[in-house]
Amino acid sequence: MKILIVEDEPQLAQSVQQFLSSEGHSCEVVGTLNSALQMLDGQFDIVLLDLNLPDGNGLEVVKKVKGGGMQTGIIILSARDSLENKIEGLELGADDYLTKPFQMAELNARLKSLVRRVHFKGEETINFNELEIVPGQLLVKVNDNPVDLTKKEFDLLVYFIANKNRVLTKTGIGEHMSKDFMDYGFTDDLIYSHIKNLRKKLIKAGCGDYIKNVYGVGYKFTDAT
Amino acid sequence: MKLITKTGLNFISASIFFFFIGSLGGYYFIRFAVDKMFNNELLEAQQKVESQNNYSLTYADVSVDTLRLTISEDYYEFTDTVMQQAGNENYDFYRKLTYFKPIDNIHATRFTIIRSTAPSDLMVMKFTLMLTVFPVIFFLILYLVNRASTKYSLAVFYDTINKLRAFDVNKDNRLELMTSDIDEFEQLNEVFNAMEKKIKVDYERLKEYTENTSHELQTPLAIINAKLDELIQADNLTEEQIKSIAGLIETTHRLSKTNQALIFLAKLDHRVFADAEEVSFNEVVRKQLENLEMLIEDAGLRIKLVSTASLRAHMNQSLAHTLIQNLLKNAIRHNIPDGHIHITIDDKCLEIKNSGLVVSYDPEKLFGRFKKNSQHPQSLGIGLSIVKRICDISAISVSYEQKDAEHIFRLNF
Repeated sequence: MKILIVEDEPQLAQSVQQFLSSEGHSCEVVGTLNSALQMLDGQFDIVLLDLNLPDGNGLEVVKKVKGGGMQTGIIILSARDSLENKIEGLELGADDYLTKPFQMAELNARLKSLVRRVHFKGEETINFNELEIVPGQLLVKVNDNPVDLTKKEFDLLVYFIANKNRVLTKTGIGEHMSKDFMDYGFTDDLIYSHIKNLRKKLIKAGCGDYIKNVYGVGYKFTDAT
Repeated sequence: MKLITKTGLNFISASIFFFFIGSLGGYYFIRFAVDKMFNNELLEAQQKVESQNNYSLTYADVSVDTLRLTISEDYYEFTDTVMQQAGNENYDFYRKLTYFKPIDNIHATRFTIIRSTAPSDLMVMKFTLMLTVFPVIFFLILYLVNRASTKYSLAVFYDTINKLRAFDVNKDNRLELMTSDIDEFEQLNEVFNAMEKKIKVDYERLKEYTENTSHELQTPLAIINAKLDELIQADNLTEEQIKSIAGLIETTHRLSKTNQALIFLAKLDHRVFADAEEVSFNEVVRKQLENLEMLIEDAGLRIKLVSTASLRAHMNQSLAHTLIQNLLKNAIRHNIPDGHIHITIDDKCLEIKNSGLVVSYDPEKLFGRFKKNSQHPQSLGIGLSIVKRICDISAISVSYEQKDAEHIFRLNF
C-alpha cells in the first residue's frame, strides 16, 4: 500500500511511518496542508490525516480527495474528539476517525479494515494457516469447518490477526473492545475471559494455539513457538 | 444575628436603661412633691392647734402627751409612719409631724399630728404607672417604625445577598443587582457587578486554558503511545523491561482518559450539547443495559428493571446516554459478587439501586471531581462529577443515599 501521512508533529509522523514501513507499506510524510494538497494525486491508497495543521484545516484534503473522485481511503487522526468534528469529517467522505492518542495496533486494525472495504468491498478473506476469516460475513473457518463465535470474539480475532506477531497490551485490547469514549468497563478480568473463550473455541475446532500470553501484560498472536 | 435584630436589641436595651432611670427619677420627684404638700398641711394644722387650741381637725389627728426630757422649743420632725386600723389587720400610711413644747426644765409636751396619705398614694401610683406605661408604648411604636424603615432600606441589601448566594459562575445568567437610593448599597452593588464580570471573564479564560491544554496534551500522548508501542515490539526485551513498558502504556492510557474526561467536562461547561430533544429514559436505560451486558454478565449481577410509566425529558440525547451509562457503570463497579442492580422508572423519577459494601461517603463530596474509592484505583473518580454536571445543565436533580448496604441514586425530573 502507498500511504500519505499528513502530520505536523515530526515525532509522531516518524513513529507512524516506521510502524507502517515495518508492516510493508511505503509511506510519504508531509507536515503542512499545502504540501499535502500538492502531493495528492491518485497514486496513494490511504491518507492518514491530522486536522490541525499549521497552515489550515486538514478537511481540505478530504474535500480534494473525495471531490476529485480518487479511490483513496482517508483515516482522520485528530486530537479533537467531539462528535461534531467526527461527523463533519465522515460526512465529507473520510472513511474513519481515530482520536489521538491512539494505539498503533488500533490504527493498524482500522487501516486493514479500510483496505478491505476500499479494495475488496469486504469480500476479501483473511488467511492464517488453517484459519480463514471472511470479515464481510462474520465467518470464521478452521480447516473449512465454521466456528461459532460471538461478535466480540470475532472482532477480537480480526484484531489479533491484523496485528499478528506484535505484542498487544491489555490496555490496547481493552480500548479496542470498548471503543466507546470514556468506557472504563473493560477490566483485565473481562479481557482475559473473552480471550480465554476465543482460544478455547479455536482449539476445540482444531486450530493451533496462536494466542500467546506475554508475561501477563498482554498477548501476541503468532504461530512461532 | 441580623443587622436589624442587632440594632433593634441595642435600641431596646438602651431604651430600657434610660427609661428605668427616668422612671425612678420621676417617682422620687413626685414623692418629694407630695411629701412637701403634706408637710405644709401638717404645719397648717400645727398653727391651728397652737393659735386656736383646736385639737379636732377634719383632716388630721392630734395627740398630746407629756414627756420627761429637755428639748429646745423649735425642734420638730416629719416622718412616715404605719398604723394598724382599728378592728382589722390592714395598715394605713400616715405622714407625721412631731414637735415639742417645753413645760419646765425637765418636762415637755409632745404634739403629734398625723395625716393619712392614702388618697395621695393612689395618685402617686397612678403617676408612676403613667410614667411607666406611656413610654413603653411610645418606645414600642418607635421601635416598630424604626424596624420597618430599616427593613425597607435593607431590602436592596438582602436582594444582593440572595442573588450572590444563587450566583453560579457556570451559569449563563447575569447577576443583575437592584439599584438603590442608598449610596452605600449602590456602591456595594457596583463593586459586586464589577467583580462578577471579572470572575466570569477569568473563569472563561481558565476554562479555555484548560481545554486548550487538554487538547495540546493529546498529541504528545499519542507520541508517547507510539514510541512505547515501538519499544515493546522489540525482540530482545527481558520480562522486566516488557512489564515496565506495559506499565507505562497503561499509565499513559489512564492519563489520556483523564484528559478526555476533562475535555468532556469543559464541553459540558461550554454548553456544546445545547440541542435538546424529547428523550425517553426507558429507552435510554434499555439501550445502555444492552451495551453493558457483557460487563454485567462478567460481574455476575442480577438486574431488575421495573418501569411503571414512560419517563420523558427534554434534553440532549447523547448526554442522556452518558448520564445513564455513567450511573450504571458506577453501579456495576461498586457492586459485590452475586450482587444486584434494581432500576425503577416512573413518570417523575428514575432510581438505580445497587448492592455494595457499607462505606461512609459524604454525599456532598461524592459528586466532586477525582473523588475515588481506594478499592478501585483504576477508576478516575470523574464519572459522577460528569453525572452531576449533566444533571445541573439539564434541570434534573440527582441525589444519593446509602441504606442497608444498598447504594441508591435517584434522578428527579
